[in-house]
Amino acid sequence: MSADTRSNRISRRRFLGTSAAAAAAVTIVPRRVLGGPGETAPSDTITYGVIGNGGRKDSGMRRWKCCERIAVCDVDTKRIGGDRDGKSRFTDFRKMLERKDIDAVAIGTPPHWHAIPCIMAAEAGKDIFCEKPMTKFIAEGRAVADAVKRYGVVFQIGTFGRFGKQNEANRENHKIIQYGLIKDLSDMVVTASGKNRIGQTALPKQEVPEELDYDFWLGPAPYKPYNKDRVHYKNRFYWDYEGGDLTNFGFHSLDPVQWVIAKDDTSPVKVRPGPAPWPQHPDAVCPFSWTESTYADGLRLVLGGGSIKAAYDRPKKRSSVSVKDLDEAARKRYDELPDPPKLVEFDVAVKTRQQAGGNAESSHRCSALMNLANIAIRLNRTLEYDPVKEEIVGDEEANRFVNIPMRAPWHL
Amino acid sequence: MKSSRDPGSRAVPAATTAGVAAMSAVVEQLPAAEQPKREIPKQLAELFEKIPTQDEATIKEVFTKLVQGGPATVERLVALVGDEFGDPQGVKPKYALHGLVHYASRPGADAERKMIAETLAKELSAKHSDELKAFICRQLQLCGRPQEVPALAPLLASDRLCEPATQALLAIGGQQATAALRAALLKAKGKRVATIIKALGRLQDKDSADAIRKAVDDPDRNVRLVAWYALGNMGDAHSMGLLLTAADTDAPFERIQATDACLLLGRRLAEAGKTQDAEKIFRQLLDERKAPEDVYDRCAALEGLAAAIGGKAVDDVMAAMGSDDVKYRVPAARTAVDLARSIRTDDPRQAEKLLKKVLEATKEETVRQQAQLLLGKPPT
Repeated sequence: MSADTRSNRISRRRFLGTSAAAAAAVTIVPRRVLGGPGETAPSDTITYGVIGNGGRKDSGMRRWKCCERIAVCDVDTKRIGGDRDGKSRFTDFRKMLERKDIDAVAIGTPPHWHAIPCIMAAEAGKDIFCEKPMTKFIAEGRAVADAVKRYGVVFQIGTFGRFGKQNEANRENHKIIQYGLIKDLSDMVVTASGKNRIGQTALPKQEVPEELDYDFWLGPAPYKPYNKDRVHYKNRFYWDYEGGDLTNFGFHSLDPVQWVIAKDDTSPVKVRPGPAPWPQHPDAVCPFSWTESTYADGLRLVLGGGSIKAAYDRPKKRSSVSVKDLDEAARKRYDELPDPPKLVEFDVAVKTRQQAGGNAESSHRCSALMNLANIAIRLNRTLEYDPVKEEIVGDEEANRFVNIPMRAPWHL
Repeated sequence: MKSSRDPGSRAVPAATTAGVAAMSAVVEQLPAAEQPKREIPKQLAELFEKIPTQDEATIKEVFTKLVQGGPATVERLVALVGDEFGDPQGVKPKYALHGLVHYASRPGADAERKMIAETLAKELSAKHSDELKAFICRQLQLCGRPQEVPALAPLLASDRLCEPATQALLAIGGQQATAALRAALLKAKGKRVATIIKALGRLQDKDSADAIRKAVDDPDRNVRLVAWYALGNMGDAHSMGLLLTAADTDAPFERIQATDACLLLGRRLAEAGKTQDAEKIFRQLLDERKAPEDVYDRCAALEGLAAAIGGKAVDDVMAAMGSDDVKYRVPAARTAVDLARSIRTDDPRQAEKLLKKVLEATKEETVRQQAQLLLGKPPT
């Protein structure tokens, strides 16, 4: 070997050493960090924690690609998963709310556990995605809507029908009703539909499984002995935790309709139950047929889908309105007034700080409508309601369902 | 009943007075499925067969007869519901008793409601299980009146029954219920302390403020948190310094909750006409919460300030709408619309100033339309 060859040869070890040093000075950067095509840069990412990792988990949040789940909370340790995915795990959502790196929460708990996490999340400055139905009783919904507004956070309910093509096609209907361009809508009947599965009336006490913190699962709901058929999805069929399928499935159907009839900021003045077996059980949700909710302008909303098949008992002349129904003066006014704004998706709302399309106020009004329907069914009485004071009028017992006391230490 | 010689049986004592008492204790401990079959009087059994029903005439027939049966019928129904929560034998009696509570609580049926509520209240001192008494409390939560407070009050000393009794008292409301809770606080221990403080806060009982102020340093965090809430909700001006100090803590969750209690106190003081005190709270929070991560506290304080002092907050709201922080500017615009709406009759010039600024501050279409309509302009 010549001297030149020796001097020009770099030993493999030196080469590797030099190369390693050189490599260290150049970092391989994942595409998502830079926010390349199809990837969200960190500043555009909405980090969130899931509260209630059961059936629904955060399936609604996955609608927006910029949302990244970084924490999970559940009172059932079997539901918070293992440690392999790098997410933080909690059994107490209040600890999760302390995290400054969490921008939002996705609430998938049973409905009796919707209001308090929503309110506390707002108090902690977190944006909120909350599964439907929004709340279990009327005063809860008002408290959530007020907290969201007070703290300037974003709220989106977990149903998206109002963003769909049906609502796009009904903007004219919405505008006419919103601005009161037809004064009397008493010949208008609109329908929405739920489902109706019922609870069991004699569930004996069972031993609480080790993985479940039952006291925390109950939270604000009254103490009743544990039974596996009262928890984990089946809570739907017990008044302590939810309003049955009327509120569960009814919300999907009713929420877009509420927008179409421009009632996102008000409630009915009268609620009448249709025929149903009575009395209802004090604990387990029972069959119903339909309820009729009448608004101040006369418009009636019939919420059906009950397992009791009974036809609605009043004639319906029309279920929508259009510009053709307006007189000349109203038509002129229609042209002058603004069109309804486009509904804003959660991810855009978080970035621009606007209210989302399925916001807290509209969701509260939708929940309140269904809560009133259930009260009417349970009492077998027509109710009169003040949509401004949000009280049932002239019926003290019924009004006691509006703001139900919570188990300590929980409160609105 | 199994013989005591059966190794799988429970021992059955002899039929002496002491033995009968002991036998009752054994029966009470049996699971629901093993409870001896309860005798139902024929008339009641016939009524049970008819419900639940959709037929309005039958509903009226059944419940009129139950009402006519008076206290004896109500007592019998309670006994038939049974001591165990999930007892299958208790299903129809529960339908009947619960339905009777609703039926008798309908508007205009005061005499019927009186009979049901009085009888249920008496049953609280009868020899029933805690689960059955909890059920009775839940019925009184629906039909109870101030006259039933004396029967509910003693249950506040029970670990199991304090909560259902408290919920019934809260539903009844009024001076008697509040006084019962206030008295119970003096002797409360354990979880009952938080239950009762929270209830007094919900009832806004200023007469218990002194006692509750002592609880703000309780070693139990739940007690501290509900004490802050209670003092805030009752609008206790003497607690202002205490709550603002509590909010100045490094413990993250406590900070959030104490801050909310301060804001709540501010709102209650404003509602009571104590606008200077309210303003002091909101301004202190606006001054102290300057960090970017505290922007939501500033939003809340600004909203509270505007609601408390009206037109005097115009400059604060205008400044907020000029903020670089979109998380402050956009909610401030909503506050501005509410403020403009409330002052435009008395001060149209200031209202106009606010609304024009809204149109600069936010792109939120809903809010812009509200502002334009209030300005009397066709929205663009």
